[in-house]
Amino acid sequence: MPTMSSSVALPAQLNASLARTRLRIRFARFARQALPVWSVLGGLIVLASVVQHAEWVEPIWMTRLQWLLVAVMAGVGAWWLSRPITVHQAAALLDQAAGGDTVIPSAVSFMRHPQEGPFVEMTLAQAASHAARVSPKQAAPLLFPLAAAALPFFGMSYLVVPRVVEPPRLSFGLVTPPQLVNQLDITPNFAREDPEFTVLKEEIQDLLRQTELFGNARTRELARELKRIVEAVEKGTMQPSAAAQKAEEIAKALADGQDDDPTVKEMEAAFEELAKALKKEKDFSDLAKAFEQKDFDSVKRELAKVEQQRAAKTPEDQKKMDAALQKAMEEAARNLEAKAAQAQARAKQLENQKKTGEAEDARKEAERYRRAAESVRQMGKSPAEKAEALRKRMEEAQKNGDKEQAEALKRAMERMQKAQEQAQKNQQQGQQQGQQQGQQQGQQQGQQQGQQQGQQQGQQQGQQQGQQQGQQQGQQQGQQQGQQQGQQQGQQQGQKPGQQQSPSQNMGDSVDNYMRNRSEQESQQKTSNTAEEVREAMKRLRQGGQCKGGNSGGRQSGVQDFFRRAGGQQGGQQGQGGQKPGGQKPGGGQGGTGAGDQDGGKLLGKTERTDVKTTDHQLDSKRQGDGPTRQQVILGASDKGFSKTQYKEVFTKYQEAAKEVLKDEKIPPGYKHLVKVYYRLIRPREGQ
Amino acid sequence: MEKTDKFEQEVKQFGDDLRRLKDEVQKFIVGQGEVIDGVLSCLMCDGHVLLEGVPGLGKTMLVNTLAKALSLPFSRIQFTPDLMPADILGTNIIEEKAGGKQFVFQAGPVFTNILLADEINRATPKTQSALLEAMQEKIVTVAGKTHKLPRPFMVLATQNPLEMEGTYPLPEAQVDRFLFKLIIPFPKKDELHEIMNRTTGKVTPEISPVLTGDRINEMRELVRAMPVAHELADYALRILEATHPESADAPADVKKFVRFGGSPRAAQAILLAARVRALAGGRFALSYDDIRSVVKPSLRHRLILNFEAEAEGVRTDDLLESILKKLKEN
Repeated sequence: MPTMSSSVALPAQLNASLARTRLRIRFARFARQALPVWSVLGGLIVLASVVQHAEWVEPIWMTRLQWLLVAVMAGVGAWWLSRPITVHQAAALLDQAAGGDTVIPSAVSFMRHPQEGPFVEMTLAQAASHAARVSPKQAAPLLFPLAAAALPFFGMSYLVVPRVVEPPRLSFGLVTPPQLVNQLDITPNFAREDPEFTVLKEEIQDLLRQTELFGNARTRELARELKRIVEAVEKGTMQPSAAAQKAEEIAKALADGQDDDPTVKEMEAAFEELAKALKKEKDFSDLAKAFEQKDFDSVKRELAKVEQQRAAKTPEDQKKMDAALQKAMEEAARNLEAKAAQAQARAKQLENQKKTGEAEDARKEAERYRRAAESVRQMGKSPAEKAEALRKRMEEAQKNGDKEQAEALKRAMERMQKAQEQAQKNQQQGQQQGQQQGQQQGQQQGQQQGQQQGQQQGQQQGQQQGQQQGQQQGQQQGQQQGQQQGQQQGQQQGQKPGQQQSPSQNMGDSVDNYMRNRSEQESQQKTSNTAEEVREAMKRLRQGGQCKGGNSGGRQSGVQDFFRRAGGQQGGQQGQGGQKPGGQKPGGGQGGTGAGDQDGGKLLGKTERTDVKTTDHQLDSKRQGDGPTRQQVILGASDKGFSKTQYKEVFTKYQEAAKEVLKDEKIPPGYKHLVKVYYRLIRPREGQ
Repeated sequence: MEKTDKFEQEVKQFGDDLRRLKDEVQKFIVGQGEVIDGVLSCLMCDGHVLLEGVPGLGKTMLVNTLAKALSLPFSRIQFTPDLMPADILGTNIIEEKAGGKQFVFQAGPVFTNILLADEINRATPKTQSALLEAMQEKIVTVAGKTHKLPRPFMVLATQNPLEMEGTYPLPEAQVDRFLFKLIIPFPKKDELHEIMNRTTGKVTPEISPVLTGDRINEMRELVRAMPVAHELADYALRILEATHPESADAPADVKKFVRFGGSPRAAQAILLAARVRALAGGRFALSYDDIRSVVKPSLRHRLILNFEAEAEGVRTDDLLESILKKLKEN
């Protein structure tokens, strides 16, 4: 037997073929094993999507299920792709394709377990020639199982499901004639008899009323335009589809139009810090407490008390008191600036740590504290100076390109100017009223005094002459005194612009501004909510009266919030009942108390205010207290046999109960509309 | 390149020689291709064959023909119950020579190249074991003196599976010495026609020698020089392991019917015989088919079946078939 030198190394071509075959085996195995599983999982995902969009169960659970299934798919795919493929497996397949005489596996084996000799060399040479003969494509063909054909179908289905599947309508078959239900499915439906359309009109009416009360010119105009569109459709002068689209856009603009007044948050921070600073001053401890409790009615009362105490003091003591208040404000401002600096430092630190989102938040917080410090300093200044500062800030925001904030500040400035104008108007009215009342009272008092003096003098000089002179003198004196007193008091309470005010008065102005802005913001929020309701109603009409689930993150979060609160947790927003916009009434003074007594009386009078603190109560429906709840009464009604109550009465009770819930509970947009439509559908007809 | 060609030529020559030998044997033996292949494989592996078949199937004729085709000395021993070891191995006899009487070793019929042990199961175990020692060690020890057997040395034993009365079945340890156990099948009808024609006619086929003893030894060296890939050797060993009922790879049938599986000699037999098959095909490496094709003759006599298997008439070939079906190549 001849001997041959041997070096065990696989030929390059064989090596390359083996590598390619291994890769193909990997993918072929993935296709064979994973794709059928993927098909099943894909089908489940589509099914979950159908359930989600049909809202048969809570959509968030279906979303989670879909993510879980996707994760399983990824896991299955990764498992089959990552499982090892040995060289020997690839060699066996290549060999099979080349004729199956086990030459290639033997060659690979000789490489892994080195052997020498002519047989090895000949085997390697044969293996190389075999590998050249076949391609990895032949050795490991990529065959897709039949089940994999379902995957594109499921993919398409998944895309189509959101467009096709819609949440079920409330079934009103028991109480509405079938033709009415059919009408509801027409898109869009503006039939006059359609309950959805009726509810929509009512909601637009609500919106109009709210914008008239609380809105600005823009929102008022938008609401009116909405009403005009609906009327045009009703009259048949406008195409329903175009009208629905246009109306939805307007409703969206109204819903999005709420501006977030930055001064409100700043003032809250400022008041908080001011409360801490005022606590240290003995004279202002009650005021500090009121600020701390955020009870701004009490704050106003305490400020009035402070003003009275100040008025009773000597000019020097007044100066001391003013200085103490200024000092407290200054301290609060410094503390706020320190907080701002801390927040700024934190922002830099976060930025260095590449946490850009958190850094931005910290920067905004710093800015808020800085503005709050500025606001505290502004508190001691006159309204004109405050308005000027606000104007500068607005210009700054415009320069920086922050349109939203500039707009919000502009509105805040407008509100302040409007309030000043109103105050001036009230002052003038107060002065006039004071003067008139002073004159009248002065005349009366003068006459009385003159009569008395005249009587006394007449007894001495002759009754008739004395009476005439006394009357004339008394009238003149009374007129002069009454006029002077009325002017003084009117000037004091009517607040002339540019006149020097005490720091406590200026602080009172700031509190007024804050309460006004906050109230306006809350009103805007209400308008926005109603507009959102209208928008949802519009959407339903455009979609044939059906609600699209999961298309709005806001709505979804609303649903979540609703269910969360239904579980017994208290909502984040609490009512601000009992606070009236406008606060203390300027002007409106009472007349002087009489001529000649050196006291013209309070020309501007007291603020109309109830001395009752309002408290929010969270009512729960547990069985407690006296008597059954309304729900128990309704549920228990069926136990008593056939009802003799008129349907109309039952309906009214139900509707009232539902209205209470709609009003008090935070219900996601669209759901309120459904409830309203439901009651519209079951409303009593004639004879019921 | 020249060396490569020369080696290639050598492998080719191996196949050609084996084919010529087979053709020569088949001049006389009709059909029985697999049996002839098995016998030739054993010849190339330096192994022995146990041929099992009913009388008249040409067992003895096959061995006769093979011996003639190889031009090697041939002996035949008809085993009977009264056959003694000395009748096979030989004995020392007293011989008078010039210097007086002395013991001279008279070699028995075992001292040959091709030995036919006809109806080996008819002899007593004592005699059987004497032969089997010679088969394994290739030496004979008589009266303290060891005598080497000639190379090549091959025993072809036959046994009749039907007439079991008065027989001494070979013990497991002795059966294990045979590389292959070949079952002689009954010829098909067309083969029978041919047999009749060849054996009852006037002209008897002439068998001419094809290979010499030296050539056979060369061919045996080539067989043993052939390397076996680790995976293929592993496959053969897994097959062997699967014949043991306690093995995890053993099929249910094996677990149920086998008392004891094959010995390591079985794996040696498989790998050697598979090499011969590969070389006969002109290939330089074993294939899984080579291994599979020699599993049955290598293992069928090495599996010890239990009573249940005997009662149910289970054949070892069926069990081996189930093992081959169950075991994957990789």
